[in-house]
Amino acid sequence: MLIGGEMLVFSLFFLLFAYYRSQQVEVFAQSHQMLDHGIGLANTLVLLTSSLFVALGVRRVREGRPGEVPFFRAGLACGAIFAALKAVEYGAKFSHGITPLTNDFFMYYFAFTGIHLVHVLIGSGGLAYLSFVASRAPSPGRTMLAECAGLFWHLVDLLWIMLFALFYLAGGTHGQG
Amino acid sequence: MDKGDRGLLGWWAALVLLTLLSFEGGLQWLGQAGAGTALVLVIALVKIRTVILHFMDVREAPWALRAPLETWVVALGAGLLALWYGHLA
Repeated sequence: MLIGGEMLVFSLFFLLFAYYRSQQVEVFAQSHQMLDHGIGLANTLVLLTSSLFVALGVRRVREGRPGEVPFFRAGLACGAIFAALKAVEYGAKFSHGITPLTNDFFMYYFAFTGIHLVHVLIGSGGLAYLSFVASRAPSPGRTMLAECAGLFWHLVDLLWIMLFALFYLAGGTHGQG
Repeated sequence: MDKGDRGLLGWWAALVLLTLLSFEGGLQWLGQAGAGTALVLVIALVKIRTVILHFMDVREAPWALRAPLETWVVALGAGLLALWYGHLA
């Protein structure tokens, strides 16, 4: 239910962005060029890789095989890299005087990627708990915890896929078909 | 690493390949910016569906769970493309 709700809320975010982009094509096109596309690409690859690690870890928990913890820790490390790169990106924007008040593009950029970053931090908390706190002994509770943390992490990944496409790849293009 | 793990590795490689293909320059062979934008959005939706089916294991879920998620992907894509190309704006 939580994941379905999150998907619907972010759908509204994506559609809002597309709507306001259609109202201010030039502003969005110019602002899109001011994003660091290299960091966007790096963060996408980092999150995709983290999803692989988490999926491999969850399989091991589900099947009662040992060796899941290194995968969860690798996923957690990817989450930390993502957050660090986002901090670098935000810092660069602020140092150039670009804030959420600059224009509608950057208002949505900071709002939506900021909300997503909060999700990354929450998901990282789940992976950290699985890696360092939760009992390693196989149990239905541990399987359920791993499944839920894994599903949430994949949600974080798939939401970023669309944020990356909208803001960094398609965000400012003039194309009308 | 068993067959299931290798499957996940294969899907991850496909996702990375699609990401690099949709990055700047990867779609220049299309020639037109508009068509490139549409393809960028479609590729993103394909990647999202791949994550849902293969990382979230929805491919093995009952149809009652899978159908709403498949519908969500299609509806989101239709809404985004319609707004992007000015049909709803």
